[in-house]
Order: sequence, then structure tokens, then C-alpha cells
Amino acid sequence: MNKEKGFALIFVLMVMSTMAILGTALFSRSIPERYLSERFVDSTQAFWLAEAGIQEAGFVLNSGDWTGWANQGATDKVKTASLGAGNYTVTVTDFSGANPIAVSAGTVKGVSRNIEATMRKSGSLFNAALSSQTQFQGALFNDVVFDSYDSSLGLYGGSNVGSKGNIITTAASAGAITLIKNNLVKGDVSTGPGGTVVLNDTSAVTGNITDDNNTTMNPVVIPADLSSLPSGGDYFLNGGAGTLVSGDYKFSSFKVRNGGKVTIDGTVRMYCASLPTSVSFEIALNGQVVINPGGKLIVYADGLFLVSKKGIANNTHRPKNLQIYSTLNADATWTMIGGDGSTPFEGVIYAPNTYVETNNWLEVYGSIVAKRIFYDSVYSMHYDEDLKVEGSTEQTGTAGSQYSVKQWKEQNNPYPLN
Amino acid sequence: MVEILLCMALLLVLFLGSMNVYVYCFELQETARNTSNALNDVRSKLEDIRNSDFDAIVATYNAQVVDLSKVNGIVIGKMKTEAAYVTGSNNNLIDIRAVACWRQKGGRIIGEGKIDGSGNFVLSDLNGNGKIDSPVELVTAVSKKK
Repeated sequence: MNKEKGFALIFVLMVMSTMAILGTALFSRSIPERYLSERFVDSTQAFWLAEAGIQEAGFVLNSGDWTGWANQGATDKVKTASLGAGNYTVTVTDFSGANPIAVSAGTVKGVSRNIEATMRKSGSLFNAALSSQTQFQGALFNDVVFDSYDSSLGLYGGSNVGSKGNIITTAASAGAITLIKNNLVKGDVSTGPGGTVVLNDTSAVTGNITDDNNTTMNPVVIPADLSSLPSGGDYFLNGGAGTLVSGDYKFSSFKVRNGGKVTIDGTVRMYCASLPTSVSFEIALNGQVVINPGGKLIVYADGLFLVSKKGIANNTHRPKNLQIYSTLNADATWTMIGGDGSTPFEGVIYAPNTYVETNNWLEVYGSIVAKRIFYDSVYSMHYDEDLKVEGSTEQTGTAGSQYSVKQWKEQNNPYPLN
Repeated sequence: MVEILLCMALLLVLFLGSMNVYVYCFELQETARNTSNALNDVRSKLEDIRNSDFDAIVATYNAQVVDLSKVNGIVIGKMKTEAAYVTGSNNNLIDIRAVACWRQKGGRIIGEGKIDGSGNFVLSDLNGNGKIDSPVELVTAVSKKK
């Protein structure tokens, strides 16, 4: 019996040791796990703060409002701001250049994440339903609905109707955009700094009304491979049928009259190199140009551009497949007269240094950019949001005014071993 | 006999102490796991917001409260988003904040929330600072892409 004395104590010591070892093991696993979890939260918070800095950089590059930013040398700007549980410091290098670089460091409880974004001006020329550099001719705005859709998703209608039917102008005058009678803009309306928007007689704007539009319109640049082609003279189809197959064409003028019908098969680029005072492109007297499915027509015109009656039937139903560019530099109407109401216009027009007039179209799908726009007798205008995609039109990147992120990367390893 | 009584007393003390350590450790692990899961939910929500129509962000997401994903193991929890135009940005820049709070299995509440009279978990500004606080909170900004 005496030999068994102390056994209970030894047993207790063994149990104590086992439980202590287990407890220590559990504790040593739990503490680092908690630490890693907290570090993961801090790191994620820092990342999103850094992203906030990039977003702010994009905003100031587009708005030009550098309030709160400090100069860092002649070409750089820097700003530090607190947000949430931490702060971010963003530096914009070469802020007035073509490709400014924004570097943003988000920091939370000593954990930092750095993001570098190279910006560039958006390549899209067509960022609104209507875009002009002068006051809109308000009296011509009657009973028009402006909205948007995305032609990459299908035809306009049903669920494919959006509220990006924006109208913008750089005009900074009172009534720079005046909607006279029963117009509905499902989108934003923006004028130049100090400009005002007047809504008369039940006209309404569903989006924001701002005066911060500083869009610039650069001139059209004729592609060298097109301008260097030998001229094919005047193309004139007076009745009958013709076909243009894929390729580049250079004419003095292009005219289709008296029921003539020209079919576009494939991608056709056409340069009408006429005198500025002459007619470059004309469809009249029931003439028509038909773009077949799979086709695309890109027209550069030095002179007047006239389309009437049946107009241009874009059977691809993608506005990017009918691109019209004007090189004309004149304060006169580079007339774009509409059809007879039976054929909608599904395309884009870019005429930065002259006037565009529309009338008698049933509907317009796409976008119009011009020095001045007379928008008359058009039932509705549907901006194609697909036009914002870079590369959707041939003329891109030369006239964009809005910065967007070109390249984005994280600068350092977010989870360094230390 | 004295030895046995002494041993039993020692065992009891040891057992209670160890249980406390074990419970604490399991709670730490649950908190860490739930924190990661809640953070994933919040991060996912921010991505949703970034990918939505800019003009609809404030109207859609400001003061929005949704349940945390039960898939991730948090049985009862809420996430709140806040979105507000930055002053002076002409409605072209939005600050976004998303915060997640939940109740753990043991009843501990992470973040500012409480169980209401009906037994539901609700967010509540307990410290009266005008916002819901939580260790799981993400803040960022989104600018308008014209």
C-alpha cells in the first residue's frame, strides 16, 4: 500500500502536463492566425484606399480642379488625404501630359499598398448623344427624346434602353442648351463653365445638369494610306445598282441619285477629296446606300455631305459601322439632311469644325459631334453606349478629352516576408 | 485520502483554467475565420458597386443593409453600405464605405450590432458617432467615367 502512495499526484502531474502542452499548441496556433487575419484586413483596407487615390487622380485629371493638391516640381502634383481607418497619398506625374502616371499609396496601421496607374485620354470621340462647341439651337429642339442603348447587346428596345442620352456643349453662355418644347433627356446635360441649361414647356432632364464640360475637338486626320491613294475621279450612279467591296477608295465626289442603289459589301473606306465648297458626298432623289450585314462604311469628306430621302440603310444595325468624318473648316452648314422618315440613321458623325443639320429622320441611333448642331424634326435620338469602347471607331485617341486608366499594377508585394 | 482530495482540487483548477484557454483560442479562431469571410463579402460588394451605373450608385447603395452571406459560415450578420458624392466634385466622385457586423456562435458580437426584441440581429450605432463601426470596414472612392 505504501508503494502506491503519490501515484495520484503523479497522475495529476501527467494530466496537467498533457493539457498544458495541448493548450500551448492551441494558443500558439490561434494567436498568429488572429494576427494574420488583422493584417489581412489592414492590407485590404490599404489597397482600397490606394484605389481611392487612383480614382481621385482620374477625377482631377478630367475636371482640372486641383484644389487641395500641392505642386511637386513643375510637372507633378501630390495630395494626402485621410479616409476611413487610414490615409492615402497620391502623386500624379506629368499631369498635363498625354500619359500622366498616378501612384497611390494607401496606409492603414503601418500596412501599405501601392498602386500605379498610367492614364491616357480616352480614345472615344463619341461620348454623348450630341456634342457641340456652340450653343444648341434650342428652337429646333421639339418633342425629342434622348436616351441610350448598347448595340453590342442587340437592337434598341425592351431591356436594352439606358439613360446615357447625354447632351454636351462647351458653350458657356446663358441658355447654352435650351430645350424649348416637350423634350426629354434621359441622361446628363453639360455646358461649358458658367453656361446654363433652360428647360421650357415640360422639357426635362433625368440626369445631372452641370457646367464643367471642357471637351476639346481635334481636327480629323485623314489616314495616310487613304489620302495617298490616286483619285478615282467622280463616282456617280444615276439610277441602277452598284457595289463597293472591301477596300479603300478615293473619289473627287460620290453621288447616288434617281433611285440608284449602292451596296456596301465588307469594310469600305472612302475619301471624298473635293474642294471645301463642293459636294463631296450626296445621296438624293431616292438614291440609297445599303450597308450589308458584315459591312462597314467609313467616309472622309472634304466638302459638303448631303443625304436625303432613303439615305443610308445600315443593315448591320451597329452605328460604328457607319462613320462619317468631315475635314471641312467653315462656319457653314455641312448639311446632313435626313431621310424621308422610312430609314433611320444608324451611325456616327464627326465634324469638329463645321455645322451639322439633321431633319426628317425617323430616328437616330449613334452619336453626333460637331462644331454646331441643328437638330430638327427628329423623333428620337438613341446614343449607342458601345461607342465608348476604345477602337470602336476608326478615328480614336486623337480627339478624346477624358482620361481613363491605360495600365494598372500594384507596385510592391502586399505580403512581404519579414 | 488527503492526497486524493488535493489531487482532485488540483485537477478541477487545472480543468477550469484549461477550458478557459481552449474557449478563448477557439473564439480567436472563429473570429479570424469570420473576419476573413466578412471581408470577402464586403470586398465583393465594393466590386459590385464599382461595376454598376455611376449615376445610380448613391440612390441604390447609400444606407443599403443586406445580410452577410451564410455560405461563408456566418449565421447571423449584416452589411451596410454608404455612398455619398464628394463635396465640390460636381457629382463626379463618390466616397463609398461598406461595413460588416455579425454575431459569433458564442454570442459575441463583432462590430456595432445587437439582438432586438424579436431575436433578430440589427445594426445599431452604439457609440453614437453617427456611423456603424466594425473591424471589417472598407472605404474607397469611385469616379465617373464619361
